[in-house]
Amino acid sequence: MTDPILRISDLAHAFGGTQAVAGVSFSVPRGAFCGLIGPNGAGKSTLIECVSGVLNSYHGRVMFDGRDITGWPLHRVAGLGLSRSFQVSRMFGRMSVLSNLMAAPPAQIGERLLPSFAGGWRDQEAENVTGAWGMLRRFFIDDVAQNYGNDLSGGQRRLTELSRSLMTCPHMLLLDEPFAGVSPTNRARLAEHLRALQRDDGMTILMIEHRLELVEQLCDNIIVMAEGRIIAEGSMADIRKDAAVVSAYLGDEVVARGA
Amino acid sequence: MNILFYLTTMAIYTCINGILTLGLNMQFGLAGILNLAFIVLVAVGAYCTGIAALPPAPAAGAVHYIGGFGWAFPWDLLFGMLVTVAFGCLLGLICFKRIAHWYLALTLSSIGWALLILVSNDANLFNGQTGLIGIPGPWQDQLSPFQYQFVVLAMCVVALAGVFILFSRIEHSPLGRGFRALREDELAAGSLAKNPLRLRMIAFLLGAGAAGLGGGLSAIYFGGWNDSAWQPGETFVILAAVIVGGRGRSLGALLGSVVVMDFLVEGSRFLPEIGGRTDLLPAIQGVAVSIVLIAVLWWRPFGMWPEQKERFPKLRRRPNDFLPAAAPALGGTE
Repeated sequence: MTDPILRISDLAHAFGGTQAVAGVSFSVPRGAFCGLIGPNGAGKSTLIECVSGVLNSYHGRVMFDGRDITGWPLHRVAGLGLSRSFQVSRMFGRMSVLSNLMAAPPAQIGERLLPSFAGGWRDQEAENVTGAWGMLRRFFIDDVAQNYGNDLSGGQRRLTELSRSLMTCPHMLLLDEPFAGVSPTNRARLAEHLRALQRDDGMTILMIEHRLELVEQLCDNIIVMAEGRIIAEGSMADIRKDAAVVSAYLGDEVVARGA
Repeated sequence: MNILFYLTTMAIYTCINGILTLGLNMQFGLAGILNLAFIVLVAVGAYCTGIAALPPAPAAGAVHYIGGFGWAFPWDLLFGMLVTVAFGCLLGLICFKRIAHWYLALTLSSIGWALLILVSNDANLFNGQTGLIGIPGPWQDQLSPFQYQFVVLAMCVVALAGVFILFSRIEHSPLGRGFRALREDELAAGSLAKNPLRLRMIAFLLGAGAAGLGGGLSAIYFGGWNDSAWQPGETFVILAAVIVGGRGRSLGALLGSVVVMDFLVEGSRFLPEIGGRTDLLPAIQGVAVSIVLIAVLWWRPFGMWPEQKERFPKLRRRPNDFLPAAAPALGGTE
């Protein structure tokens, strides 16, 4: 676990006068399942926006897979294999679920101008369709493959977004509240999917999540942010012992559980 | 012969309008660029085709224009298209990098108005409101006007067929899917490693090519070019055709152009005059287009012949489950 796939050093970003992220440094080891927690306004989402390239005028340095991706735009970061999901899931609403997935595979021949009308992309397309069906079956959304993205339930949206991300063949996933809008019964199942991805497929995952029981269940390393800074890092047990965290964030929960 | 003359004229209009509608459908229907300056691209195509076909301007005449190359038929049209694409490239580079959505529409619209005001008022550069006259067409001097109709019609049909085949192949390719993804959600498309600037530029330039071609054909057919035909409002008629027909679908856009331009705009000519006032015609055309537009948006919000879900090839083999499925299914609805 000494080989970090993502290394963030001294990252800072301000919206006007508000310092949303104020100098954050940490790294994510390859194959790890990291959780990023903290109260509302702690700067978690802003951090993800910066790393993934949605915001790219931040200070500091971001290294991914041995390359300096500081300031890269979203599509270049994604092209390097760092795939993200959004706090509110973003579907291609007027496209079928299968089309949503088919938009994702990298290096599609038919996306270049000349082959798009001259042809020569159909073999690759057939391969990609096979892959997309496999992905839909894995996440048990193959029965809604022909539904419009707009017509999905909250849980189906999350799964479609996740499988669409995986179609880009990423090395790491950045998940911004992947359980938001998912019903309690389906939460456990989605958690099982995520765990399988990390455990069986060796995917590295960095996840923002508010529900501590899910974070505890899934993540082996947890980073706690408050007011734009990291205030604690370690396993859930370490974090429970940390007085700063307890006062800033965990207080009631820990007391309630009698820890 | 009179009715045949009218019919061929209508057929030529239909083809040219079809080319323009396909162009705007590529930009707006597929890639979601609300280009309110589309008619400017058409005007650039028409003007440049005109100056490529015309002989050099007389030094001391009343007519000014740039160039005057005296080129024969396919080259003047090609030149018009190329300049339009280059002009579109310039517009795109100015606008697409930092501006999106409604702001982009407003920016393009403002650029369109500004350019038209400049062209109409600066008589030295583009000859003001007189524009170009006497643009020669292919074999025009050797044929009767009636025979010439068929030459132009043949050109227009070939051009429309070419644009339609090209655009519908792109529409059903992964590139078309990329355009649609960009239209639906730019951030999500970016998160799938799609470069929004590249996709937007390609769609915009394809549309500009069609605009230049349509503009060039109409300049050749009318034999002239002036600013009255290229008022910014013309963009909205083409936009209405795209929306009425079905944005994102080439066949739908063609249907829309026939419904809006042939049935509504041309058809209202045959209505009885109200109180003998012919000046009401443009208003009546506008009202007719608007009513149909509202009706379509109300009852068929995606157009009369809307975009379809993509069809994919049948699986040649059973999909291997991408990765072992360890987790149980999510329940159906929530």
